[in-house]
Amino acid sequence: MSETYDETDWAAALSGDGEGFGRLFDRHRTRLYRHSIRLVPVAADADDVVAIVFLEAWRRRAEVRFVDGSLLPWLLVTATNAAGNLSRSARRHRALLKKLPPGEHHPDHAEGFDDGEAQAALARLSLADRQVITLCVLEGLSEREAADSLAVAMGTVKSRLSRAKRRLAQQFSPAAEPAPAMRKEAHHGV
Amino acid sequence: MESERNTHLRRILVATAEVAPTERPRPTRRVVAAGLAAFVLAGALTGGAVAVASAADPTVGNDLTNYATLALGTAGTLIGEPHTFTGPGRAELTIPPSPRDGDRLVIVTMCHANADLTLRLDDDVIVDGDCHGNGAAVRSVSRNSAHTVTAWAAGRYAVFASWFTDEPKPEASEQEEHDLSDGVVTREEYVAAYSRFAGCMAEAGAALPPIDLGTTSVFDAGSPDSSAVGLVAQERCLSREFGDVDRVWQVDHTR
Repeated sequence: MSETYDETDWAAALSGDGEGFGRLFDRHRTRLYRHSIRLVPVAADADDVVAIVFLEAWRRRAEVRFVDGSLLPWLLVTATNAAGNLSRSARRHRALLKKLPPGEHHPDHAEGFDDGEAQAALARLSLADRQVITLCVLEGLSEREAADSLAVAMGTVKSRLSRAKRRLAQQFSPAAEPAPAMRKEAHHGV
Repeated sequence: MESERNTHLRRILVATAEVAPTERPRPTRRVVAAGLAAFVLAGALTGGAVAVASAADPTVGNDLTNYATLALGTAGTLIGEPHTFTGPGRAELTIPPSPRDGDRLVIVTMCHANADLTLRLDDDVIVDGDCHGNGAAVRSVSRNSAHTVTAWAAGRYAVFASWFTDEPKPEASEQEEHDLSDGVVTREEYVAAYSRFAGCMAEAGAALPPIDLGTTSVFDAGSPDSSAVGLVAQERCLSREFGDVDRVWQVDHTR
């Protein structure tokens, strides 16, 4: 499993082996992009979120945590936070972001993640609620994995998740067609 | 097919880890700072010899301090006397109340080969199982009371605990912000930023050795002063004057 290599690659990066950081990027960037594009208005912003997450991982390396050997949950949490206030998140790294060429976006790919009303409803949640929804519902992490990622008790995740789902549900009229994000929730059985 | 953006971003990330300031001997293109040359962290991580031999071994204490400083990065600054133990066997470190405003503890472990490690802070189990290489954990605890770090492993290991303050590192100076604003660092900006960094270090009591600014292509930001004063000064002065400029310069000029 790739997760078993995350800690090793991270330790290598901390020792000055830059390729260790490169391997972590290779392993997780696609999943992070898919996650981020649900949280921002345009695909180019998701590119920036991915870059910011890895730059922040290095800057805040004391806070990086692994869940069952995987860095991915921490990266997802950081992406959620960065997407929530992209302009502030980008400020610190703007010199490097400016150096990056634009991403290559395929319209049909982006549309595949357009969850419409559900995405807008998600954006209206508080950061705490958005974090648990994205981790537990959209990314399919267990409540324990989410708790470890967020450094909170599992009971806190349960209560936040319940509250967030209630608030999301309140934003839809009963007669409305369930939005794609809601259908994903059903697939994950939460 | 790999996008140009991903290729470029990956290159930046690799360079970011390779040019990090305090944790290891410099790449061959740089002058290795004497105080850091003995740093064995890289050896520990790659399976090389780790000097985890004696509780009184000051080298191990320095390595652990270096690693803790590295792990904290810009997130905080060590304060007070660190506490260390090297094993095998059982460690019990009593951490007295924080000497000032820090209310977080950083705990670092360094394991030789694979050790089966149990590590606790008071009643909080931090590690219970395999330990290899280095790891760092941060915990928020009451700063007004003493805390106990206990560890046990049959294999060789070292553990380090210290209070730190999460007072943020200084933001980039206005001049560094200006240098970075167009995404390009010129040679003139690079030299001037290093000069400001060297001035900041001297002011903090950790002067750098003189270098030839005219002929050296990549400046060594490593301080030969591996004391806490030197490490802290280096982190702060890099944050303020040189760190990001150095990173951008090296990404553009070292490959």
